[in-house]
Order: sequence, then structure tokens, then C-alpha cells
Amino acid sequence: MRLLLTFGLLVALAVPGAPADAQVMRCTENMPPIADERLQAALDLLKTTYPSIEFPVDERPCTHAAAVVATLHATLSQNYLKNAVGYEFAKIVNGDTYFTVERFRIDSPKRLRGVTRTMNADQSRKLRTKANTVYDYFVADNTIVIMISDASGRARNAELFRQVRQSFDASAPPAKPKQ
Amino acid sequence: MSVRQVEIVVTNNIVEHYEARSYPDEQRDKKGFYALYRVPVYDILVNGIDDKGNPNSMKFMAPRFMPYFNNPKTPTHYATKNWVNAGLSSGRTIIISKYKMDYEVQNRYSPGRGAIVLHKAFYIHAGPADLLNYGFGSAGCIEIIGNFEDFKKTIATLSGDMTGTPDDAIQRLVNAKKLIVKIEEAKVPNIKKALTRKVHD
Repeated sequence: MRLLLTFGLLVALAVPGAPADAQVMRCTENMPPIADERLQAALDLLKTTYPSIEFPVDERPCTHAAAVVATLHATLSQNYLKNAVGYEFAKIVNGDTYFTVERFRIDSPKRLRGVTRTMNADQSRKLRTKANTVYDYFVADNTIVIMISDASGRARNAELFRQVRQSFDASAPPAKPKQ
Repeated sequence: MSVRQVEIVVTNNIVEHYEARSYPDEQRDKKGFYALYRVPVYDILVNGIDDKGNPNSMKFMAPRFMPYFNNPKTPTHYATKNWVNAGLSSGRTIIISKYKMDYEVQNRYSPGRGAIVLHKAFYIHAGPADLLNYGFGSAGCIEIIGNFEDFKKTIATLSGDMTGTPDDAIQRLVNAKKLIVKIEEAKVPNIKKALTRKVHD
């Protein structure tokens, strides 16, 4: 699995010029970074709307990525994310609740359809993990953006995640004209 | 290099109190306020032999009983429903066989990674930064209050082999069956009666 990574090669890239407190972290082991900056822009805007939110730094982004992939594998009963070709995420402390925004680039349309179909069918949106966590998601081009939230903060964090989605929608590249 | 045995003692000595919220479901009223409960905080000792051959003991602290509420109307994956004063109360000594070095606390933010698996889903892992950081909850896990990295470093130092990270040292201890957790018998507190206040975020 491309996202199962050795510690020695972990690379965390902060986006140059971004506010220090809006931190996107990336795992670039065996894959290029997602370079479009849309997640960073969405978080910068989120910070403007919700100044009290905090973005703690994770020094082991690839370890985090592997854990998320494993949890989603257990939840969805299929490892749709094992062939992801890009990954970035942010941790967000929202008052006394906490959530993460995970973004995977999946170049296979079939695999991307598979993961969204399975997530849509999962009405509970609860992750199979020791913690009481829930998820939500949206698709932005060839990436899937997933919110993982503590269950008690679900509604409050979903509100922030909606804004992240709006930012992605607003920055979507123009559709290609039909030939 | 052979590692030295390290013993973690989960004592029954109450040193402080902490305000926890119920887990996995908080009890939020119609106005959005959720309940906090006063739980005892116990001494946690990390015992071993230092490099000079002298016995050494370092103190940490953690709650060991927490308010557990699994709402039967919207149950989580946890098997136990409704209310329980959750925690391990009987005395026992456990030779640790599993350490999850990548474990992250997911219900609240904590920078501390790693979990010492005691029994099924009962772990020792990172907890609140301090006693004022109210609102952590667990299903009876022992959540170390303060800097979890210090806790791990103490275990690593007493193991006598600091090669790599503290996580590596703890894993070596587990592999060698030399990480022991002694849980002292303790009376289960009646947490349900220890509601302190309701707060809004």
C-alpha cells in the first residue's frame, strides 16, 4: 500500500506564505504533493470566519495517513484508498470538539465512484474504530475530501465542513468545453 | 542490549479530581448544555532501575474511572448500553503484550500518541493537558494527565535502552515481556451522582 510508510522518509510540507495557524500537512512518500492549494485556501477562509479554531501540527503525517486508510478500510470493508496518489490533511480544534479534514487524490474514476457509493450507502457514518467518531465527505474533481469528527461535535463541525466544501466549489476549475 | 523491566502502577491513591464528560455519548440538554462529572484522579507510578542500579519511581496522574453513557436510542459500536461507571476496579498484574505506537486520541485533540493495551479496549493513553482542561471522556481508559511524551520518555529511560524514539523503547519492552502494569484494587466511585455542572461550548 502506497500510504504505508517508513518513519525515516516522512515529509511534512507547510505551504509557504500561509498563515502559521492554518496548517495543511502532507504525506509525500512515494507520491507527489497535491499542489492546487485549494485545501489551504479553504482553511484560511475558515479561520477568517471562525477565528478561535486552531490547527495543531502533526509531525508524522504519513503515520496519520496510514491510520486513516486502515480505519476507512475497516469501515467500508474495502480498501478504496490504497491506490491514492496524493494526500493532505489538517487537524482542527473547534472549541471543545475536534475534527480532521482528509483529502485523498484518486485518479481512477472507477475507484472514486466506488468509495462514494459505499460511503453513501453507509447511513450511520460512524467509523469502525475504538473512538466514537463519525465522517462526512464530498468529492472535488479527482479528490475525495473527508471530515472525521468526534461524534459529540458532529453538528458543530459539520457546519465548518460545509464551509470548506463551499470554498472548494467556489474554486473549482472551469468545466472543459464539449468538443 | 537487554532492557530492564519497567512497572507501571495504577494506584488506588486519589490525589486530585477532574471534570469529565460522558463517553461515547455526552448528555446534552435541549439548550445545548452538556453534563460534567467529578471523577477521582489517581497516582500513576512508573517504577524501574536507573542506569546506576538504583530503584527509581516517577509519579504521574490519571483518572481510572470515567462516566460511560451509550445512548440506547442511538447506540455506538460499544457493546454496553446505557450508563456505567467505567474502569478496571479489580487488582491485577498484566504483562503487556501490545503497544499501539501510532494510536491517536480522536475524540479530543491531544498531541500525545501511543497506547498501552491493558485488556480489550482498555488502554493507557494520552489525556488532558492539565486538570483545568475539562471534558475528556473515555470508556474506562486510563488517560494520563499532562505531557504524555514525558510519560513515555520515563518508561524509555528506565528501560535502559534509549535507541531510537521512546515508542521504539516501549515496543522493545513489550517484545521482551518486560513492561508490567500493576493495577491496584480500587472502589468504583458513583460517578453518576457526581454531576458538577452543565456547560455550553
